[in-house]
Amino acid sequence: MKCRAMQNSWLKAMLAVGFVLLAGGLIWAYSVGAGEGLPMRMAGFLCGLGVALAAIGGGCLLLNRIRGERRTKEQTLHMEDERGLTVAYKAQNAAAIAAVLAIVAMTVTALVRGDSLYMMMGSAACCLVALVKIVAWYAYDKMM
Amino acid sequence: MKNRLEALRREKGVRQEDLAQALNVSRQTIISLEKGKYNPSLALAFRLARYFALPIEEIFDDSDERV
Repeated sequence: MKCRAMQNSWLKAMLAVGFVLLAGGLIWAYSVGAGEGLPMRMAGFLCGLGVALAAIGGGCLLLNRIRGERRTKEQTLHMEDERGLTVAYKAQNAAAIAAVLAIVAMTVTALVRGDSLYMMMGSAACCLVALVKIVAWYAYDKMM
Repeated sequence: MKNRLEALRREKGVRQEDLAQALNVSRQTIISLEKGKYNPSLALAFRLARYFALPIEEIFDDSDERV
């Protein structure tokens, strides 16, 4: 739903970045060869990211064209007026909770499997989330 | 918070779409306001009051929220 209302210039930029990443990933993959482990995975990651960005950008541009300018503007207003921002804020809160739960799940899984690196990374991520929340709360409390 | 938005809008013979355009909000926001599902910000409440040329108290009723 959100993509319908995104401005076309942003979508074009997203499409262009997607193609650049895809091309870069493909060139990198062909230049390193199949035997290389980490560089190949990095190239694959770049290709995947590029395809995802290009697909989202291209798909949304197509949707905007189909829906017409008036409907796209309405959708933008729907997302950007004060109620739209409140809805977006609540949705972001829900997404943040889901992300924290995913990190906790990863940490617990690593703990059970005895994978100390991922356990430490998960714990560090949890600490970072808590720290950001405390700092943000303090900063917003001062600002408002 | 209760409000008389729908009645006032109908009295004035304005469509939800036109009211939304005049206030620079979406039609969905007007629908939510009329249903009482969403309480507007102070700025939007003032814009509504100016649009209907009425004091805010005559549009919104906060009797159920008074302490």
